Amino acid sequence: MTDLVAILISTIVLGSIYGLVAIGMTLIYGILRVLDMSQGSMVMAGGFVGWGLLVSAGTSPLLALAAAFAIAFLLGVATQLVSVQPLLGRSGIDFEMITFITTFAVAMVIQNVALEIFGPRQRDVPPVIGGTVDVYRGVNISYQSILMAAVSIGLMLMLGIFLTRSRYGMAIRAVAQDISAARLMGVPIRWMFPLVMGLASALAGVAGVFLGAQLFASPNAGDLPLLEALIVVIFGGLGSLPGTIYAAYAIGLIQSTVSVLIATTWSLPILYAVILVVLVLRPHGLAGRPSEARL
Amino acid sequence: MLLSVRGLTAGYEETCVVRGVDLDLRESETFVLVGPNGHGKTTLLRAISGLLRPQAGEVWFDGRRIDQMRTEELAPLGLVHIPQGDHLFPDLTVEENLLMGAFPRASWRGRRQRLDRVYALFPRLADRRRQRARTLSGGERRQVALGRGLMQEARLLLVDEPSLGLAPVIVDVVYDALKQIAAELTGVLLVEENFAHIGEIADRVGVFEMGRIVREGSAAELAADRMVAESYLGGIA
Repeated sequence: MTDLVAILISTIVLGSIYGLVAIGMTLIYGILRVLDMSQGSMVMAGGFVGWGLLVSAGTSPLLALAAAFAIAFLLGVATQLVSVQPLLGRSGIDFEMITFITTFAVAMVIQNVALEIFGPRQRDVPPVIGGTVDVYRGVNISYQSILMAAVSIGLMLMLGIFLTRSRYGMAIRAVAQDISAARLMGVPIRWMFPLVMGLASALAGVAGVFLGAQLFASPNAGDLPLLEALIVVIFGGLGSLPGTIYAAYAIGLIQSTVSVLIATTWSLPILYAVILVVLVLRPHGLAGRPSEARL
Repeated sequence: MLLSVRGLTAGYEETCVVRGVDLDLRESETFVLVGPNGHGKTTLLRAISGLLRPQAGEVWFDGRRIDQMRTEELAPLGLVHIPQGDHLFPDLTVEENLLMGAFPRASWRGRRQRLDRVYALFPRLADRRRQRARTLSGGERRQVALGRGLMQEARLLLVDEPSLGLAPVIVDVVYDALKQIAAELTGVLLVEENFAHIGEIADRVGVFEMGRIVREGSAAELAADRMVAESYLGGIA
């Protein structure tokens, strides 16, 4: 029973943060057909914002999260304007491949700017909130993890509500599904693309504050989250939001189960074995349909 | 003049498909272009609504030159293009598709009343409102496409072959609706392959061949023209 509770809690915490890091990538791929390689640097930037505000300035955690959201949003908009917008609508180029590299190039620039400013040293980011609670007969969970899961789930729900209920959210899905029809409806597509990339980056930035506290802030702190996000979105089915969420929690479940029942060292090999088998059997991922499916 | 097209030339890459078209559409007029497929009718509509950048010529809508404007700027002005092949948003529901039609700020405010009006016009859509567009039949899709075009405060509606690929029963539904729409709207520019259904709604008809309007008149006048009649009446008078 304790094992079950431990697995459940760990799955929710891991799955939620995986989901938050990856969902922006899915959003961007769904609407723009760009695999945004700069998402990792948004996580990194969020980590430094968290470090700067929580350690040096001593601001409240909520404000630090909001600041990470805002700064990553602006960074995302800037990245889009520099590396994606100029390539839109050009004929005769492999848009998907080129933007894969241009967004990666921007990520490298951001990373090296961070290196110039902060140096290569890893900075400890304090937990956004301290303390732990005993949930069930010795199964502990930190308040930090509870907050991380709650904020991640909350943001993903808000994104869902925004996309299904609001005028602009619906327009984002419409653009993803038929861009010329969306233009005929009067959707200002030129603004939508930077908006979406800013929004997606903002979510990664918030995740970065939590991940920074989990690990540390450093210029290459975004590398691993980027790789993990790529795996989540491809495992879930490129461009599918529900797929990304299934994949995030499925990966969390596998890792937690193996860690609790077997050993932590086995969690990654077994996870990747499962991903390999699933992708070979279902190349479109858990929820992905062939390429016509978008958001 | 609601719409003035002057010397409009448009096409794809090196080939021009629309060759110097002049066209005038007065307030509250329904103008129908009839002509064989592949002669540039769709291209003409796409050039008017900016989906295709014209190679030469001018387009004026409601006193404003629009041929250099972006497509997405035209819907808020009241120029609505219902494209060939419907172009629905496949993974949005019927109702979401319709709501997207009301995207411009001015239309968004009145979206509930407009939704009711579209459902009154196409009762079938009310039953299907929560269904994804990709699951609809061809006739239902066409109704969504037309309904979506009616969700905004349109002053001019461009409609591209509304009867294309539909069973005769559905064509009647579509044209009954179009008749009502044409009566209410300021202007309609409609494109069809033949005369079969347009007699009752056309104020004026143009025959479109090889990228040009080659003849113009009322439906009755053109029906009396033997050459036109043989090509386009297809046995229906």
